[in-house]
Amino acid sequence: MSELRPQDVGSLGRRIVGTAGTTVVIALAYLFIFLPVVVLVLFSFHDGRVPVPPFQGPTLDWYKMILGDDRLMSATGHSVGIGLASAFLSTLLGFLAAFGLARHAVPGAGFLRWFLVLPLTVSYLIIGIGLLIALSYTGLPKSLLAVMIGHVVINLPLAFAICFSQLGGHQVVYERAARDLGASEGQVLMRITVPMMWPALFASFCLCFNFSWDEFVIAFFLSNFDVTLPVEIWSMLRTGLNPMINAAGTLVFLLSLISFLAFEILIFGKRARHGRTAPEA
Amino acid sequence: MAEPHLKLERIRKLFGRQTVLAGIDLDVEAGKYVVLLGPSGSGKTTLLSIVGGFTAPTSGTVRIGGKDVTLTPPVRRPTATVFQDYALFPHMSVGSNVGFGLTIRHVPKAERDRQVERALELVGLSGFASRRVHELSGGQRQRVALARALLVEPEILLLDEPLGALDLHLRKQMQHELRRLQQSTGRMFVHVTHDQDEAMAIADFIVILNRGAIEDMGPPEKLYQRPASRFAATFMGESTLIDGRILRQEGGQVLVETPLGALPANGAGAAGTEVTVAVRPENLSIEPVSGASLPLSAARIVETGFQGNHRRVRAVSETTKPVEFLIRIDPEADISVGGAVTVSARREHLVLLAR
Amino acid sequence: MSSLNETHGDAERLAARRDAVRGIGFLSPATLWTMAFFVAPLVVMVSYSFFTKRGTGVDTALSLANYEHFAVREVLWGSLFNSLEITLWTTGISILLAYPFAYVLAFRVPERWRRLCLVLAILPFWTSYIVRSYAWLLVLSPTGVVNQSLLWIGLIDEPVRLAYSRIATVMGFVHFFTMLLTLTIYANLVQLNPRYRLAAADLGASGWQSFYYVLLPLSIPGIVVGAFTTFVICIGDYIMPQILGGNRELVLPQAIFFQVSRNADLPLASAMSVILMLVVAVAYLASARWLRMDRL
Repeated sequence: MSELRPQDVGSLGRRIVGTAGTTVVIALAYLFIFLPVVVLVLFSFHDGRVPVPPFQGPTLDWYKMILGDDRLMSATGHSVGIGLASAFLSTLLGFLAAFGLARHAVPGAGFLRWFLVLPLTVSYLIIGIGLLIALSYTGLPKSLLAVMIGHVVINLPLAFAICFSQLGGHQVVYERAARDLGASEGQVLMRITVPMMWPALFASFCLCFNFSWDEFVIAFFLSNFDVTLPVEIWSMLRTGLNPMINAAGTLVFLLSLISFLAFEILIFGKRARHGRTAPEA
Repeated sequence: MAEPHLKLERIRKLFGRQTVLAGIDLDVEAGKYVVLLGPSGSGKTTLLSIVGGFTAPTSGTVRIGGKDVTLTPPVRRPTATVFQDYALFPHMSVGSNVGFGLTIRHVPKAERDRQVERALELVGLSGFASRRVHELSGGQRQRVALARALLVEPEILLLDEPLGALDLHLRKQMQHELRRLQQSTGRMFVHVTHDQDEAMAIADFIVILNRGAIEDMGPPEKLYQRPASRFAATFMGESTLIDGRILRQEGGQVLVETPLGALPANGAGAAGTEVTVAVRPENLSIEPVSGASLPLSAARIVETGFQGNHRRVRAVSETTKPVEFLIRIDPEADISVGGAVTVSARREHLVLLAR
Repeated sequence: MSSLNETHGDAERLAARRDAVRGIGFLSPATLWTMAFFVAPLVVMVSYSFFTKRGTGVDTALSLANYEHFAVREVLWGSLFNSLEITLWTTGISILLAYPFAYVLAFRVPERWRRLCLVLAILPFWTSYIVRSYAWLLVLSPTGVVNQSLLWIGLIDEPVRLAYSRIATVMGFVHFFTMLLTLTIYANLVQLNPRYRLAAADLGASGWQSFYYVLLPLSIPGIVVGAFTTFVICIGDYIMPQILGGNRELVLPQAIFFQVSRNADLPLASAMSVILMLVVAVAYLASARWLRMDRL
């Protein structure tokens, strides 16, 4: 309130031109961004064998078909399982590491920070091949467990980075106060730090789940007979354009969307409510 | 009186349904150091923002040098602003920051460097041109922001709480420097603050704002000795306030019926009007009453505090409706809490305020 | 005096060591995981790149044969150049599209709509990567939406070849990375002090001058972070070129994938992976100054 802010100076004409420019940029951007999604969803209801215009229908046949497809359904189950397990492990390990670096003076802290985010700069393809070679080198079989391990490798840097960025100095005061009131280190962590960090932990979990849910190359190299959903969809692609893929893709989109919107509402809805009770000074 | 250089006419500003400024009229001559003083939420920063061109008033006119600039954007106004957080460009050196106004006017580099160095010298930072902004202390950043704004040769320099981020010692020093800079450049400075000591220390002319309206304005001495309102009297330092009602007019004075009896005060007003009589702490005395003094009341001391060069005493009158006195006395005086005293003041120090 | 200092110093050292031990305790699970499942496989991979394929196994005699092979066969080194070309086009176009969009979101859209606009802008992010690539195939195919529309308007007489080409790959990539870059640039723009722009205007800068001298230099960290991320993901991606680009002009990841899945030549695939990592390392060094600055 008591600081200068950019406001409403400028002639009416300029403002109208500005508004028109803004509208054009936004409209073009959204057209480009949504074009493939709209085509994908629309033609999942297409009553025809090839999903190309002109649109005929609508029909729900393709949805009936994929829901009755056992291979697709079991692949979905595998993906959910791997996603939950790898998201949990990544977030747990990432949070512990971030806590260790943020709250303790560890020798070589700068190097460790760099080291833990390093996997982000390496292509999934290379990580997949590396793990594949390691499996063949040690004689271990390909499995869904190996896929899960690979997904923790790619998600751990992300979870670590999110937790580290949110472990700011402002919680230190509360941690110190709790210690002063007699809490042990474990109690401080569980009763103060984790509850204060939960939005970041939840964000990290959601993001890791989505990345695992969507990952193809590592899952392709490391899985054998039991596969994940992206690998199954990949094998469907060999049949060319097919409305069944549209239907499957639409369902996958819907699932991701629900988790994303839940996350938006939980985190930002909460923040907005806080904002209303305590407006900025 | 000379033609006003800055002239505000009936400036009103609404944010939604909230009135931030309710009709401000203000005339200031060129070359004055003006301070807009008021508590937070009084509209002082909005008023500065309107003068600088960052905010458009809902209605009213801003004139600078006789020209209507109400709709002129900041780029083309003869004003420059020193922002509260200085807004020094973090990716530029001190020299590039100071010379920014010249860079965009395509002044050749040699000439620019010369002027930058002169501006830095003016604020006591010669040789700092190649430093990075983040290497500077708070006080140095303040000076760089001043140099940057002064180099575009504004007719009016606007300062938005410029000393707010500095510690007390540095603030006193910068007050002095701002005053010196203003006098050596001869430009009009308009300075926003909520600190009345700062206002009194540097201003030629103070405007006291409260709830979007001007409570009082004038030179600091006038505002202190003859405040126009109860708000002005309490915001600019402390006062003892005695509420009452006008009995009758007697020449240039009125007689006011108060809990302490009838008191004379300078001013005019119709009988029956509710008013307040104010007295500054240093104008009250607990010494034995002498010729020119007017005894006000017997009182009992309830609190004393040592303030270095004086002692601040709070005393309560022994009347049916008690009045609280704030008195400033000699620090060596022999008094104690519970002691009985007689409070007196000279007639000319009793100020009549509307209620 | 000195003995007092020493005992004090000892206590301090002991406390510091205890603190470090605790910190290492918290850090060790993540560090060990990364060592075991990231570093170790890569070390094995690098050593594999100096082995050669023999039958179904490998010859562990060290040689540079794979690297020589890569250097002489055009289909292999050509794939690296295809990758670089596609990646640079993608990064450049994505920045040019994302910057105005992020600018409008950050400074022109009214505050209450901003969150909604941002959520909408990244919504297609949540479609599966494979499905999104496939969706672009639908859009760009000879009978797809784009060709049908152009035919209907009368701009073309017969369908243009868009799918299974380099254009399609770049288009699919640009779609994905425009969203990503919009996010990183937007995040950078909104955290800039709004008074920088006010100050520039106040000192006489026009809209363009204030953009050129103040906003653009200050948004470079956001651009570089986004561009580096784009480069790393784009040059290492197999899916988009495989689905949209077809098999005519391979990119490096396609060539690597081919060596693994068709030829089962893990040593050659390893050597090409090492080359891909080196390219990324060079890009990192080139942008390191800005990447680090962003962390300040």
